[in-house]
Amino acid sequence: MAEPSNFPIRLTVTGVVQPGTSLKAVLLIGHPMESGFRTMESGQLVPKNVIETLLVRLNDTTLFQASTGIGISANPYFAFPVSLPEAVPPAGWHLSVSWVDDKGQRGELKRELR
Amino acid sequence: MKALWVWLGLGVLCASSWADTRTSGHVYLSPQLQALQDDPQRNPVALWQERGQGLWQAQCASCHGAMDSVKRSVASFPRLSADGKRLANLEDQILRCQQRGAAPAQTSAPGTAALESDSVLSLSAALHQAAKGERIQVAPSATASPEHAAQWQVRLSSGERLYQTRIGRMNLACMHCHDGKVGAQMRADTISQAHPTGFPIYRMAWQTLGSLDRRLRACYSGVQAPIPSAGSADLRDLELFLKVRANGMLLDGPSIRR
Repeated sequence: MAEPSNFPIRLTVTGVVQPGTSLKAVLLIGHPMESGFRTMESGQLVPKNVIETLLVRLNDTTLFQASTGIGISANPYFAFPVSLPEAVPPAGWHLSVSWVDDKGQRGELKRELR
Repeated sequence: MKALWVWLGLGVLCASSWADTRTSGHVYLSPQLQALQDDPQRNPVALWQERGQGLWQAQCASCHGAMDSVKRSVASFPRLSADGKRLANLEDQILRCQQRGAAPAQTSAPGTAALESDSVLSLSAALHQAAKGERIQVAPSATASPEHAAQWQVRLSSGERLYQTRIGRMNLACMHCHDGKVGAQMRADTISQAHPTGFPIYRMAWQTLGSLDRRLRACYSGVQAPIPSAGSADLRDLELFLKVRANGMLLDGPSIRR
């Protein structure tokens, strides 16, 4: 997706939300991931624009932080397990995703797990 | 004109009673890409589809109503304008709607930036998804004047001629591969029958969604011929011929291609 104002994020979580279970999360981010090596018809290089950091958190706990770069394809896809702890937090579980690219653009998504 | 109706009639007969040997490009994909197509969690086309549904609600629904109400129409593009001068595919029509009120109607070709913009492709993807399972039904309007129908026929013949004319340093016509070498390997790709049932496509080589217009230009590049500009009349004629050739086939919705 080329227009910077609106990068879509799709997060799909499957599994039964219960203390101690493991869920499967699938994340799809609409981002061009421009490597900086491609040329336009004019012969000039297309400016590099890639997501540099992806952070996935369960409530306040960091599940993982990924350093991504030019090796990741456009519209990157991540699949990861989410292990729910035994103790249920008072406000329930929230999975939050945030990314930042090298132009400083960012995207965020917060999903309540039910 | 008469020949056309005989041909169309034959097409309908083929679809209904004889074994139809025409197949969608989906069957020529690798198992991995077919799996990607069929997995709604992974399929990147959903990014455009969801955006298109949002745009439809925000910009189009007040006049056109629910997306389901126009799905028959989606399967009938490209269409010849009332004055018989412009052959417009669905992306042209979306662009025209977007520009209505904002600027006077364009007379020149709109160019790549406009035709392949995120909003046009998103709407096209959402509409084609809504029209999934509709039969392609491209024909001159039933109420058209004889002159209009004749002009439609001229454009169809032009498309057919383009399909059969050798071009480029490869000196190939469309038909040499897509009729004569179906199923053969071309580099790492399998040659399909070239039925435009799955557009717009998410093409792995592009890493993004693209229209039939862009795909046809990529074909010109493939045979090393001069590439026509986006939205040119030749591309629309060719699209008309391909759609008529696929008349009666089911739309697949936006698809993955290699």
